[in-house]
Amino acid sequence: MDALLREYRRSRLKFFARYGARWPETLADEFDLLAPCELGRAEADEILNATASLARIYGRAAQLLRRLSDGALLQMGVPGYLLPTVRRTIPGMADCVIGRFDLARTEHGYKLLEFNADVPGFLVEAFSVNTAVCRHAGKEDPNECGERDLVQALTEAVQAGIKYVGRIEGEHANVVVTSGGRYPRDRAMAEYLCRLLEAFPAQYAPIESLGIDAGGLYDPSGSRIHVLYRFFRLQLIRNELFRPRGTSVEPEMGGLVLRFVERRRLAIINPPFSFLLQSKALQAVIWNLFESGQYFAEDERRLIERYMLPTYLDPPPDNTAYVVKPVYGAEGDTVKVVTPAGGVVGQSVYTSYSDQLMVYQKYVDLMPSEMMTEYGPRTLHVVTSCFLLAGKPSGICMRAGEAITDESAWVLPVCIGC
Amino acid sequence: MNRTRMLMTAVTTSLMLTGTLPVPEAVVPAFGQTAPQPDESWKTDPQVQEAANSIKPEIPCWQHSQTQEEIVKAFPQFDAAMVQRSLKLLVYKGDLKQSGDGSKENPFVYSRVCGGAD
Repeated sequence: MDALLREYRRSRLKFFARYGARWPETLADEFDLLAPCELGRAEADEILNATASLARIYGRAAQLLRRLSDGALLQMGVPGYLLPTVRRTIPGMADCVIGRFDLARTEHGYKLLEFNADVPGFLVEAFSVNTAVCRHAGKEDPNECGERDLVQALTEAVQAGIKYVGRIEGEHANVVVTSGGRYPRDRAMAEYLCRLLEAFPAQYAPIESLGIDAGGLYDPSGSRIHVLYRFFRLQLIRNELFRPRGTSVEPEMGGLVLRFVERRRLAIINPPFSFLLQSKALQAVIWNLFESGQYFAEDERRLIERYMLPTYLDPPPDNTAYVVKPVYGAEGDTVKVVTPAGGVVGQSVYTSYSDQLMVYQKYVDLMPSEMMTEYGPRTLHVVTSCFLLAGKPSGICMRAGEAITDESAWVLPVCIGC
Repeated sequence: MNRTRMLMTAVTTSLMLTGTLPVPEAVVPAFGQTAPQPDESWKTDPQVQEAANSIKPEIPCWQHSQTQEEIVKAFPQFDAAMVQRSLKLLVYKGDLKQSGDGSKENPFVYSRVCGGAD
């Protein structure tokens, strides 16, 4: 075993020495990446099919969300300060420009755990890193066209955003990609998107460096921003994040930025509507409409049954194990696995979202498998993800970690093995 | 299944009102089931905001997680209840992560947030 571990470590070190500098701040160290996982072509196609099917269900759910009353949205856990803006669409821009479905591979096929529609991460790992790993291993990359799809989705979204704020073709538009300046991994992802958007061009600026006044949002040089790609959750945007220009700005959740979007002075990517798609309460709505035979057509109901899990806002009626998670949580924070008898068999370290509305989702085992790590062989649980780029499934990625996947999980590159 | 039923009633009522679902003979009203509202004054209380503004600049200097008790000691100008409310506000605004359940055996512990993307 020692020889296997030595060989594993040597191989990870070799890869990192050759490529690691390409992604400063994305990979924590040489052992952040596990050895690539080989998927059969049929398996990769099944992941893409599952994503396409879920995209269809979410497309129908989006039509439903637009008709819901404020009261219904509040019951789904949407904060009140987002209500005036959250249904807003930007013509020509997808409801979710970059989203990521997290899936569990079960005995009954892939099942949706959650849809990260607001601010999905792992872009660099899924596209740039995965391609380099596959090339290094001499294997086919399942995400070969992914970066091209990403550029296309982003380009179309930025163009729609420019039009939305009233800029005419050929007129200069200021495109900014932002993230919290204290989060190096988010910054690296933002800078990666800037490189993909070089045709506009797009510039990176930490959110704390952006200026604000009653007229708009400004980059650090004082130019008004027209299109903002945000690696920052919509529900956390507030006036006091920004540097006031001239007169002081009152603290307010949502605040001026959302009003700029409403008044077409600013376009944001992902657009506000993506926040509604992100809600885990939407999974409960979809599942309960499926159960009651309402709204969805017969073929859509078949897809819901195949790819989604029973999800409620209360503990499920049948005696099954379930997972409790916040409707707008992130990174596996405040997640609990509960047995049929009511005992807690697993829970995340963090409890930051314990005040939020919770969903209760049928528990499915993230099938454990033994993988080599820098510490030796470990039994790890794999979450499979696939991006949805302006409606197109593209970019498979995996993470391996504890039963509840959180930020400590390893990145598991994916290649086509046969 | 009270919360689920209430949500689905609100959803189907919205759909009926917009003509997306057929209206049954008797529509179950979505209203009249008012649950007691939790105290959320900490979200807008200027004094809580002021205390949070004092604590927030110290967060990047934290080398390890801090218990509520440690934070109370570090900010003697605020009473324990004010610190507790301002920590709640900082968690709500995504500036801090919380662990523990607030019990004596498992007190709340606070740490820095590492990222914003999911």
